[in-house]
Amino acid sequence: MPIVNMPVEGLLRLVNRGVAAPLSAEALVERLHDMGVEVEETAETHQFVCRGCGRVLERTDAQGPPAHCASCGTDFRADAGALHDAGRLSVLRLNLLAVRPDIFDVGGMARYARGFLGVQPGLIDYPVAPPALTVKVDPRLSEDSSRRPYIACAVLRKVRLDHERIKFLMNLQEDLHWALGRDRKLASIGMYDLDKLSGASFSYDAVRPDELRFVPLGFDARRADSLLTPAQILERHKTGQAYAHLLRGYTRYPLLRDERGTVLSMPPIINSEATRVTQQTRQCFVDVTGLSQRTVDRALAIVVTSAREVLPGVEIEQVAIAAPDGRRDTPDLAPGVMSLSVREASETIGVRLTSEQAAGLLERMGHGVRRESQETLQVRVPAWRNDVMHAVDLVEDVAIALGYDHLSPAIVPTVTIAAAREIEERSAVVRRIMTGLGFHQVMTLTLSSEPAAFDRWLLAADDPLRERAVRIENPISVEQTICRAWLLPGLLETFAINKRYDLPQWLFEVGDVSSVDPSAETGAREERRVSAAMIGTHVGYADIRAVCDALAHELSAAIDVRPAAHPGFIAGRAASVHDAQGAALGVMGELHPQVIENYGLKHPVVALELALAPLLRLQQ
Amino acid sequence: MQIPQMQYEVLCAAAEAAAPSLIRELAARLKRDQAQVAAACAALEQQGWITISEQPYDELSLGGEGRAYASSPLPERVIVGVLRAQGGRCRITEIPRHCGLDAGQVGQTLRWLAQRGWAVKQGDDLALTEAGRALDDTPTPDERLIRALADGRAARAAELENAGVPVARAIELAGKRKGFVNVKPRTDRSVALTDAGRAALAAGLAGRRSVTQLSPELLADGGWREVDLQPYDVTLSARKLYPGKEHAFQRTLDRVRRVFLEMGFTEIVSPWVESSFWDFDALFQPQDHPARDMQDTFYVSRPDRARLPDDALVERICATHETGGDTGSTGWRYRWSRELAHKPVLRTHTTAATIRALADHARRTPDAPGKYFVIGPVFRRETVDYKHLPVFHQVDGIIVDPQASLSTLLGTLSAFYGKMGFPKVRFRPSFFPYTEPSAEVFLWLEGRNEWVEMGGSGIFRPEVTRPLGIRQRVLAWGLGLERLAMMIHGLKAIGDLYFATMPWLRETPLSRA
Repeated sequence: MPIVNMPVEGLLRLVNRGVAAPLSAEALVERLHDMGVEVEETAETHQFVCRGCGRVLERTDAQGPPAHCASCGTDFRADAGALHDAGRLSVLRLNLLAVRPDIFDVGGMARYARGFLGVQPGLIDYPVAPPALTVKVDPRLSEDSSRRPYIACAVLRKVRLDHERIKFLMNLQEDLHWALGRDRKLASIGMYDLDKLSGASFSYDAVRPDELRFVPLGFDARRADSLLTPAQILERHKTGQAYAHLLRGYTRYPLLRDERGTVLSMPPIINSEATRVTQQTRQCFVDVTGLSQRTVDRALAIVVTSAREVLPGVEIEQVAIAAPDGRRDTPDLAPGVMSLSVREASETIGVRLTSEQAAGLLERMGHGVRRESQETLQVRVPAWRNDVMHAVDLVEDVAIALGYDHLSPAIVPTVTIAAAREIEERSAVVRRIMTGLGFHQVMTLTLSSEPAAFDRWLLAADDPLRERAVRIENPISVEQTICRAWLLPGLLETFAINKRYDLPQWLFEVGDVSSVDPSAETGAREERRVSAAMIGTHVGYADIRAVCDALAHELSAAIDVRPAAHPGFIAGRAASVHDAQGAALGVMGELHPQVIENYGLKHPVVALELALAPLLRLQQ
Repeated sequence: MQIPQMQYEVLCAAAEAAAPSLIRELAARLKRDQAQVAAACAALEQQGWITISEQPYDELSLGGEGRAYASSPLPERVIVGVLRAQGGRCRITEIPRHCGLDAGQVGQTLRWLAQRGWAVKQGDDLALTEAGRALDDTPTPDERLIRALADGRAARAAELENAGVPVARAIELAGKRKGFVNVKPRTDRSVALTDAGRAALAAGLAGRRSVTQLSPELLADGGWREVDLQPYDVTLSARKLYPGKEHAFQRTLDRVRRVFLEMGFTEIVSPWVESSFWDFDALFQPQDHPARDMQDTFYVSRPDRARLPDDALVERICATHETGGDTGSTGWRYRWSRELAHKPVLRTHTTAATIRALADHARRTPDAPGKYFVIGPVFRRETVDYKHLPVFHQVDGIIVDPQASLSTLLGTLSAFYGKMGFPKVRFRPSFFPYTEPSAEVFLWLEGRNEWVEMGGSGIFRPEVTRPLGIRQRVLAWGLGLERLAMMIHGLKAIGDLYFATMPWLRETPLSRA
């Protein structure tokens, strides 16, 4: 879950807007908890401004000043003058759910809080002006040469910006890149100074990597070598390098231009320097491009409505998108409409609600509600909510508004009869036998590696145990590449950890091992095993044989012990154990000195490992 | 009359001695352990046969500082030497340049020079007094004491006086110097026969053999009647003994299991190697969900393909993802790939087991209530640190019931944790792709005074239950068990459970589970 810093003062100002009895910071923190928002802490941060792009960078004291700019890539270690210290700011560190990107910024959070607190309940209807601009979409963006087919745009008029508000707009984009855009892959957002653009018809095209040149954000427009082709940007610009993988394999790159051909941006990589938003910007052009229409639309709805909450007097204007499959006007802030059964909501939450109560709770969560009947509500869901797919999602909103802390926990009254698995019950008996014999149980990792499980035990390259091991395709460490195929390596590793403690040491483990089985539905199956090992100056075959016999006796199992060859055991001191029908259950004996040496041990070791289900005559 | 052999021997020895004898000397004479002799004396004094008298004395020995001066002159003498060479006075700060002392040592020595009257401070200078000028090599009383104790032994004050050391004066001089001379008050104890003792001996006493171990022979021939069985100091503890033990985590897992069985749940199981279908798709996790990334999930290359259940079910799951199917949902609106569903993973949660159990329940008795739970390992592609391992255990449970609700979910989990010894449970709204409403579960940790997150829970979405043919609500939860065990057993690192040391295995008390 993401941690988002939210300025305390800024949030309070928005929440308390026009409120007779304003909330204190402490009271706000308390209410945020009720809203399902976890406040990690109140922290002091330092604000730094990048002179290269105007970006405000927020850092804690522990983090210290930034090394380079997160937006334009300026290296502050090389150019200390490019970093301006703008003082301290008190912030709430909030732990937010990734599915609520609409509350990742002060505007959205204030909107949620004002609804929840009853200051401004119900669906907020933002006025939207009809389009004056058109964006033409190149059909090649839907092809494999450059797949980024979807775009949604908006214009924000009457914008007034300062450092703080520019930071808000930048953070808003970044948080959405993270939460909705999967780090710009599914959706990426750009904002531009509309007064630096010309014409009423923009184009969103797929261009060749070397078809043209422009100055990317953060590069000095006065220098001749700042003019780069898209391909060069991916190589030379810090942000280009960081996101080059998103365009890898494409022969054409997405490019957004105005009517005269001025580049706005190369989504999802970088904006142009020429169209940069500054404190002087009075009108903004906003675009979201991506791989999913739904995500692109949601992101734009969040950007424009949150901006409208934070920047008073801003007017939202639509943009006409002329896509290959037809024209649509964005942003589309029309609410989704769903109906909710009050009875269904009551039963799901476990409290009896009237339709008035349910409607009130939904309005506090920012929905528009109309009573269709005594039993059914028609709910208008805000366009900026990304997590409402089904009426149950509205039920959860009702429960949150009600408060989880205010529910009365109960138990379903239905009587059911418990049923334990036999192998678990019998495994407990095996553990009782082993502890009665004086052994200590260990629990070792269920992941292992081929060197640990097989090489150290001198198993041949074609040993069937190796070939039946379940292998991980993308291991995270060389020590965990397979599921454990047998238990004894874990016991020996435990001996190795315990070299400095007194001997003898007697250990056992009861647990599952996994192996490939083509007849199994998923291609592999687990088997319950018992293993035991003893290390000490005087241990020998007879000790482990005695343990084996004791186990068999206590489990009332008839066993048959035969001489066997196993590379991990001393020749002539290993045995295979069989059940009365002759089926093999496992192995026991004195470990080969080479195996003992491989674990760095200095004393003789005897060991045994048996399959439990056949020993217990159970189906597994 | 018979008395214990040791007492008899001590009594005889005391009778032979002309004067009161020290217990120490008696033990040496009898070649017996001094503590045993002392114990016998105490018993004899109780009888009134001897008296024990105590003579206190001081025992002197050198401390670390004192030992150093046994082989080198006192710093006072060194400084007197320097002053003489410098014509009777010298700046104090200059002194270290003329001898082996550092400024600190010179500073500390000033008060001893003044006390002895050898030199006095005059401004920044130190000047010899008359006595200092006249000082010769005759050792001072404390120097004599140091020499007398130079061999490192401890000596009685009286002994030293006899050897001509003016002990009292020496202690006066040296006593305040730290680590110079140690004076320990000690006591001599000596015994003397009383008249009653003499009379008892005369009346005819005999020693009885005293025995430590009651042997089979003594029992066989009745010899135990003739011997004393020596008393022991029963307050002493003996060697450490540990029973063979089940692993502490096992005991916690057993308790979790017992609690769910007590609450009427059926125990289930599912394979470690799981199809993406059951691990993700059946749980309405979209195929581009970050949890399905190679970054977070272990994919399995051998075996490389898992079978899918019957086509009808696969079709319903596919439709639910793409359009919501007949579940009343909008679905995720993307193209669902059957091929991706075949890919085997190491199960990322035990919800893979409960969703299979739910599918099975739907096939057999879709409209009946049911409760299922599973305990087992799950696998996540986590880097190892003190909190994380790529394998950990979960308990997952589901309740299929017409009265299932958010309230009964919270009630069931509160009951579970209450039985585990954690009475304070709290829930917070959360999000999981397969539950709605969802709640995160927190326990109040008394010792740490904080809420600790234990896992997730919720009501399965219709997109999860409907395709299986379940129309009732289904409560579900997945709770981590390592963290619970670490809290119960007071462990700081998760690795302590899996890479156990013998002392921990042996010593963790069985009473904790």
